[in-house]
Amino acid sequence: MADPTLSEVLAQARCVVCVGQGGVGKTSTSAALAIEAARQGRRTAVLTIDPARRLANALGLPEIGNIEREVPKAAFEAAGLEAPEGKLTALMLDIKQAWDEVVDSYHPDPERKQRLLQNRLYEAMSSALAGSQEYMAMEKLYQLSTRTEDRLDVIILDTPPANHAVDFLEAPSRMLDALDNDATRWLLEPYERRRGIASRIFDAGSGLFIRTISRFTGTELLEDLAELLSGFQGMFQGFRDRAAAVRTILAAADTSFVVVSTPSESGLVDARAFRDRLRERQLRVGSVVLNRATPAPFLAGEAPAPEALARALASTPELAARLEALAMERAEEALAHREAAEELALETEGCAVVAVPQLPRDVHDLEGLERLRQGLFAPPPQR
Amino acid sequence: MEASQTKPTARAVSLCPSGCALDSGLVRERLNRRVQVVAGKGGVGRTALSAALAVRAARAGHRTLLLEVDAPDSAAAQLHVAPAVDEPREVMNNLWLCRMSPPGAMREYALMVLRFKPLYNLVFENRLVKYLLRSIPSLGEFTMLGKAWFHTTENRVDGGPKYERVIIDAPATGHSVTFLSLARLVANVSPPGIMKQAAERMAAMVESDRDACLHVVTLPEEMPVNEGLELVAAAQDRLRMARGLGVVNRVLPPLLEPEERALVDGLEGGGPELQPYLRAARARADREAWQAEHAERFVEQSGLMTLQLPDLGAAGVRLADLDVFIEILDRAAGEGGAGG
Repeated sequence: MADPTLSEVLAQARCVVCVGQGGVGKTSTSAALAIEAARQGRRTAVLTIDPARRLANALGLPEIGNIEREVPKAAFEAAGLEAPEGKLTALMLDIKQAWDEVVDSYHPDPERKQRLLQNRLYEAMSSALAGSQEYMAMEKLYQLSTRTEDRLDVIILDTPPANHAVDFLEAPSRMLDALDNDATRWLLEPYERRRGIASRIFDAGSGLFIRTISRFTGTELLEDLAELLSGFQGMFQGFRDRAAAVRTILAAADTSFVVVSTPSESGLVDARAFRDRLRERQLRVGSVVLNRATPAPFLAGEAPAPEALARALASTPELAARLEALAMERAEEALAHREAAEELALETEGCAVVAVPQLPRDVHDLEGLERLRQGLFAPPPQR
Repeated sequence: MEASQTKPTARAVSLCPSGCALDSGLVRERLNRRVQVVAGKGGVGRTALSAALAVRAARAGHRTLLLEVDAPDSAAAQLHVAPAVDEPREVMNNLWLCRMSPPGAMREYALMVLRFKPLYNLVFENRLVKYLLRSIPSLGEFTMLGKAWFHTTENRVDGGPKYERVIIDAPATGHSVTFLSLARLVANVSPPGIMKQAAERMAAMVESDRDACLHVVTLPEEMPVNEGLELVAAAQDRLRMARGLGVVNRVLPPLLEPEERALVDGLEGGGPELQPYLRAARARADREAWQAEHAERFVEQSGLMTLQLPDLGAAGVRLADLDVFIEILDRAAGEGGAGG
């Protein structure tokens, strides 16, 4: 069976999750996929994590995040592009705000909620707690995919940069474990009885422990921590339920992962590792996108002509040699990139492997996204 | 990654914000500060610069400590020495290398406070307690900062500082701001006591305009420059840290001299067999122009004295490449020819 094209993968998906290391063009790839989906006439939302400011502006996003905005059709027209048929919205994840929203909408107890939002450690926690970003991306995905009004046909999710594919999948449960475990429950027990941590110092059983830890952290820090954790009580079940619901979405038949990487040696190692980790978990890898492939200087039917070059630059033979070396080096690199992509396609059944030629500039506006989109969805070059 | 055609040399130029000339005296003064923190987005070459700064200082005869905070590409690999451990180890003449990890730093700090190992083992090795400490935001980073501060205060028997230069290879941008701001944060929120005292002294180290500075490393690309600029702003507003140097890494050396450009453009009128060469040259020129644009944006908006380091190809940094970086640092400091 022939492998699907990226266009087919996208057309069949309700949810597309872009994963990959930092700095490989994941955010712009997500945005370009979203534009293509909208061009297919579908109601599309793209959730980005950390876009460059100019790209955010290009998508019509305000400086502060968590607000879903429509990418105006006029913006496409102003860039000389045809506006997509489907409605396209974009939003950018803001961790602190996402936390506030989750606490605000799901906290069962108004009094605890206020105490939580005012806790001194709360703000530090929302940005510093490992896995917090991934968790919030999943909360947002849950929210977008379950909403009933203004329903979406497809959601494109950009994920935080990760070293391993499982980081994104496991971070939420790691984060929840850090907040809710035997240890935190043990610390909370006296707190919940409103006796304060200090009382524990005199407990026969745990006094030594609390006393020793507080010599290290100070009693106040422990009190703050207990209050923070106590503030979350009543929310953990909801956290876990929604995380489980998102796992179901991610494993669904109409969800596709797109591994974004580069065709460099290390990029290929990453791409394979991401692909394998996802497949081990029975998740669908719809596509591997290799950004920044070197374009071949010699097009079909063209051949190296060093003598002609030497003749044309007869007065500067050293310059001719330098140019020749540059062209040959780029040709070699282009060939290596193309072959690597072909090899990857061969060994990855049922997956669209796409090598996108290096663009002359960064992608930071709709025009750049359009070029990237063309690179992603262009028919494969003639052999 | 496009390999550079020209052999890598120390040719790359220095840049400074418009209206000022690079002041080698000022560069020298920054490079001689006792505590130098190297920060930037992940993957921009923080570790390579940190290694170059450390080796340069060590070769100049200063006892130098290179501290790595959670660095994925370790300085040890670049220096071709055994991996760093939690304790400083002399890996070259005058150069000590030490890794900082949250659990290691926490253990050291706890032992320092408790002064009694069995108690530490009993309490801190307890599974519940380990879990609990992990859930305190930023405690790990705070203890690492504490360890860095501790090493700057260590003295030798003769009373002189154990390390005359401490180079800190800080974690990636967002984390390094958190990391460096923790001392002030803890000092401000802690009640009087051992933790507050330690935090005050750490903050004084970070904020010292005489002894410390922050170098910001970036690449000539959109996102790394944005993060670099955010870091510069944070250093000023939130960290109150002295400005060190800006470093734009992996700059492609110009393939063509200006007068050669016209010759190459002249190929356009030549035969069709010349077009591929023209295409390759233009793609390269585009990359160079695009890099220059970003480098300039960084320099103008950061206001930092900025050095450019050449693209040394895709391969990892070798010891010889470190010498290229060191030579550029020497030149910028007006101390050409040192090293080796």
